[in-house]
Amino acid sequence: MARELLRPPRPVGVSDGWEALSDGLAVQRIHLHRAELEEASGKGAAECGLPAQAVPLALLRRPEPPADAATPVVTAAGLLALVTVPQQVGRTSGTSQLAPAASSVAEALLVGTPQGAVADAVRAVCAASAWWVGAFAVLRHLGGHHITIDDDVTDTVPLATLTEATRAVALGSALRVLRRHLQQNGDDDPEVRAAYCRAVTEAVVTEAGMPALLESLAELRLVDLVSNALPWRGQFLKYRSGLGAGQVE
Amino acid sequence: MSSNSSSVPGFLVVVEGLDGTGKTTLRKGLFRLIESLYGVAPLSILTTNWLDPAVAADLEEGKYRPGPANRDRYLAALRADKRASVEQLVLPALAHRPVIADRWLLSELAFFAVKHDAPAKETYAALEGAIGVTADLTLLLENSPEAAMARAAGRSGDAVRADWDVLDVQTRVRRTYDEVADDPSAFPKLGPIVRIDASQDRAGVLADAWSALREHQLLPALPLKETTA
Repeated sequence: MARELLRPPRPVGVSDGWEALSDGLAVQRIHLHRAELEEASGKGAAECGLPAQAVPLALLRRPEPPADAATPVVTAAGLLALVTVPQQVGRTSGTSQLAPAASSVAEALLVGTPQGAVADAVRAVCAASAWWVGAFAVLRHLGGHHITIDDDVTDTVPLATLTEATRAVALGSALRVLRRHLQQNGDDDPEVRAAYCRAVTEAVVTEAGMPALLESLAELRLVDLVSNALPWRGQFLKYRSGLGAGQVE
Repeated sequence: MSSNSSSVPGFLVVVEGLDGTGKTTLRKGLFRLIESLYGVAPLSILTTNWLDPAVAADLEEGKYRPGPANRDRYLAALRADKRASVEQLVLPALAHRPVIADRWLLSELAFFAVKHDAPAKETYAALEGAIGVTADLTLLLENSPEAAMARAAGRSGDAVRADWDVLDVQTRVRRTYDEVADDPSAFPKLGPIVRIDASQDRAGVLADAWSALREHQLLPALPLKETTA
């Protein structure tokens, strides 16, 4: 069983391939822009195109590392990089304003779910999701518009938009953990089934707001992160239409 | 190439219920659940999405301006359209994937009961011959007409109809649903009917629907056994 859990998912369908490409691109972008992240962490909110309440250094604060027992579950869902990159690149100071939104997603999904590796994994990926949104938010002012690409993004993104983005990425990440756990370990546990159903129905409800959210985020890297994070009609749209992503950095 | 999808059989699951009971959310949820967990995208069909162009005008008139003069023409058009839907959509899809129908036969029985005072068994007898497939499961979302109407009223656009989304009509629709669900053997093309409490939250409805699909052995147990194609 443990060996099964440690095995990362092997792409089966084309969507699995797009998911792997999208995950890889997000990690690539963080490593590509580590110097800019380092520099931004010493700047003020206005200099980074962030609202006054947001502190760049705090947005980059690394979340608590996942419990040991959760790591195989996270790995099986293909999300190990989601939790390890913030540990490697994140900072220690401050409290991210996005963390409570991610935590609230996890707790809403886990109502009635016993403590254990699966619950810890859901909490870990949700917490990490806040870091990823924060990191790309800090880089946002350096990026281009997701449609026109060449036009720089110069406006300030509202904190409410970043909070909504965090909720979407956390939900999508949690959904992947629960899905993979059910696929590998069976569907006998009614509490895990219930958590998965909460995630699926929340994603259905979230879909209605996705176009407006992406327009508000505007910038390519943030839009890629959020739009590919959870199932909706626009997920993997670039890959679906034969385009890549990340050509322009 | 290795694939999980051949482990999932084709089946026809129908979602029925009053306007505002959450049929759309359940249909989307089932679609996502089956595609994500079992690796096969179902075909979703909406009964209000007509297929046979030859009868489209009769369907439009009979549904939106029902009266004695167009009753039989509407029934004939429904027969033609159901036949087209089964032959062009449902049966070809079932060879490869599940089909989720948002309304199917039960809704037609309720419409004729309300608008034409036709007993459900009479409408069923007129339509069943055109429907060359039996549903593997009909999920009936149940809520009070008052609660369902309150939820439906929050929608925008033309989703709410003045001659349909009113309490006395919805109460009669609900009565027809109960009459049919209480006597399923008289309506075999509906397949087994599972009643789901639609007053609970959306996730609870989806969980109950998933349980029904598992209990009727329409979805295999997880983990799926991988097959080689």
